[in-house]
Amino acid sequence: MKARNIARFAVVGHPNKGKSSIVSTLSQNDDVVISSRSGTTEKAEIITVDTANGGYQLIDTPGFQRPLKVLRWLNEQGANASERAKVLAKFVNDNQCRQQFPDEVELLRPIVNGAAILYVVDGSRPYGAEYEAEMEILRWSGQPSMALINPIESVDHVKEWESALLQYFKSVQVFNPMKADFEKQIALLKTFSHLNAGWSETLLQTIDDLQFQRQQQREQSIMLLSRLVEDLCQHQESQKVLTPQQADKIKPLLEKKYHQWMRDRETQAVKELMAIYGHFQSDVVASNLDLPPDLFDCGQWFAWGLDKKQLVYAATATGALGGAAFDAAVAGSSFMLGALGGGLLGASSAWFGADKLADLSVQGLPVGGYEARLGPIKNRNFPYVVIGRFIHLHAQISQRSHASRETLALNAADFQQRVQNLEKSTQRELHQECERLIKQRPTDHLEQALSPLFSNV
Amino acid sequence: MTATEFSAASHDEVSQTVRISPVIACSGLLLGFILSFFLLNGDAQGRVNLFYLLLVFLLFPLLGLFTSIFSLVRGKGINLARIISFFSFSGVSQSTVLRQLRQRHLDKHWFFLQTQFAMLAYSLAGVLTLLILLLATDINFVWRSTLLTASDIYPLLKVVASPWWFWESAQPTIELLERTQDSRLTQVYENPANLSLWWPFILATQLFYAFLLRGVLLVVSRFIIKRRLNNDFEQQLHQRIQQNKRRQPERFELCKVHNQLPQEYAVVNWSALPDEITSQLPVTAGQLKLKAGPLASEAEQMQAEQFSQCKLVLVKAWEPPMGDLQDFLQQGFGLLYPVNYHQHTLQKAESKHLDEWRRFCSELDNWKLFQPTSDNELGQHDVVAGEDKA
Repeated sequence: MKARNIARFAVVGHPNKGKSSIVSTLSQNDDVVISSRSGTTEKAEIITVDTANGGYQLIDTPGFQRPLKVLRWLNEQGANASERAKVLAKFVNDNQCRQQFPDEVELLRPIVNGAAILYVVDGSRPYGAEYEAEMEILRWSGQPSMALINPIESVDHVKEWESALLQYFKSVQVFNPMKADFEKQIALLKTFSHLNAGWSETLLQTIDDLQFQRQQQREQSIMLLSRLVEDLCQHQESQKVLTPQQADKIKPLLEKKYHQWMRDRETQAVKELMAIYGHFQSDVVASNLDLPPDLFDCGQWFAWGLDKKQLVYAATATGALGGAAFDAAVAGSSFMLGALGGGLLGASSAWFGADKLADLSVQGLPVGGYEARLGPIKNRNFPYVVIGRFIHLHAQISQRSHASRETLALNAADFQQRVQNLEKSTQRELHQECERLIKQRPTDHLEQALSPLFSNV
Repeated sequence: MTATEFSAASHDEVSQTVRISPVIACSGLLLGFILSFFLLNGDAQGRVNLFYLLLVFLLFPLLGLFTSIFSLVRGKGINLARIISFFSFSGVSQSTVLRQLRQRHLDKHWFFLQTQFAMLAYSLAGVLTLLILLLATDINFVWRSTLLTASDIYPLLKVVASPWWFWESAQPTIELLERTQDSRLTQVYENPANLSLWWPFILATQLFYAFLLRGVLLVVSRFIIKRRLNNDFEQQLHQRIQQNKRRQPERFELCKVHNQLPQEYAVVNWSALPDEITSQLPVTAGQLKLKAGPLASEAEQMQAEQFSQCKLVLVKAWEPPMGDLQDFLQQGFGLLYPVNYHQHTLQKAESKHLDEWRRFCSELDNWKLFQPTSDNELGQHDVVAGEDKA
């Protein structure tokens, strides 16, 4: 049953110190507007993180604009410590204050209404006494609060900020929204649960939900890859022609269509992968994936697929399995020569097939004429290349902060190592499924075979 | 084709799966024509065994229906369409659509749907053949049995005909049964016209047990496939991508950066820059120095506000302009100088910070943005008498 006591956090601070970035990262929502222009956030914007059994709200607020004047106004009210929260409420509801200090009214309103405070500062720049007015105003609210030091460019001044902030806030954390991966976000949420005992249960339930959601995202990514690799391995382009000579002439056109389809299919999968992890504003255009390392640049395959040694092992493992089936069929009377022979056959075909891409075939049609057909790719390494690229992208996207708006880069990573680290039986299962893909057979356990590659090495 | 177009095309392709497979539908049509024609043609006298008709138009469709439903729910989805797909001429097993369906675990639902199409075609062929032969020839419906009598068969036929109770002429009667019982030894019929009276019953059997039931299953299976396709995570991701369109990059108006100053001006230290920094700035030498900003006293602030000559306002380059400063700049005129330093050493302002100040300054009528060139940062700044000519 869903808990009703939803935690609310107002993210406040100086303009341009990464408040919106923190909201975007913690809400896993890249639709939050992040701008280099200060004062982008003019109204407090509530971002609700809704999970199956919990949730929380983050309130992105405008930055302080006239803190000193506001503090002066508050002091003029002559309130003692017990009345300060009421004075703050009076400030928020005062018509004149609304006109004079619209940003402060907007940022203080959610706090007056019960939200906890997340005060954000930049740890890469020196502490300044001018911040004290802001912190003093926030202290007047009496709400649970925490300071987040955002090391936007460096950690040069984190220490001096820490010592200043600890005088105003019980809890001070260093949190870089641009680099915070999922685990760091969860760690911060756990800290939030200590801010207000009433929210603790809901927040812990939310953390469980987010971890479950993370698992689902991983499973969907595996399904996505399974579909992608199957589509790419089985795709073919065909064109009806009158003569076999015509077929040869249209080969470049077919190749172009074929390559374009494959690239578009991969780009689509990447976009969907980003959507699984809630990234919609990042730039991933087809041209990024077309640039080297290209899917069809065999010279780059050493980085993405398996190396020749691993390919030979893959072919040997799957070939030997076929031979072993023969041994079993003849009740071992082949003295295991079947397994040995099958293995050698697989190994030699792996060596010879390593640089071979899709062939053009020309077939006569029953009603006359011919059909020129390009594809599917028969290269044994091809499924591994597709899997390797996707696994690498998955590692990047799944850890990508939602505050990041940078273009996604595609660089080689450690796919071969990942395969190497799998248990032999898991490796064999993967190789068998890839072998089925190349031989155009339906794959029954592809998702299961891909799953271990998605766990951290 | 862009990635988005491709994505849309791909999803369209999948949503087209509810279309008829011509090979499978034609197979059903052909089977229906052949079976119906051979059966309804009867023997030399045009006699057609009612039981054989019930076998082809009632038992066979019903048995097929239950088998395919059971196989869909519990088994691997064995049905007519699946069997036809095993033949390579059908081209079904290699199709992209089938691969995409298999990826979505919808292949057996698709075969079930195609089977309904095939059986509808089968029924259509049966009905058409019956109607054509009724028009073109005399069909004599008879029944034969060694063990059964009319009174044994009647209750069964009554149950079969119960769905069309409202269609009087399509209901079996015990009299009709008695009059149409045939024996290959005695072929004497009181009234041969009675032999043709079974056709409404046969037609109704085809319409209900083949046409109607298959039609219902067709609609249901189409609905299930469409719903499951819409619930597929890839389809939902596609919708989310469509909903979350990319925002256009922001465009701001930026003011020019000036690197020349008038001869006389007051230096206003707005951001409380430390003396060790201001003393490194050549532009402060020999000029009147004022204080303003969050850390200035009220008197200092007032003095700076009331100064009516040109002012050079020093601010921290990395801090964004705030409302306090904007209020201060409402009065007077002059230049804003964003100063950057790191560990007591002056540095050139970063362009991202400078852009923010340029944007801010572009909205102010009486203020310009100043940055020294790298040469005069270290040495003497350029001073232009009178108007700023930058």
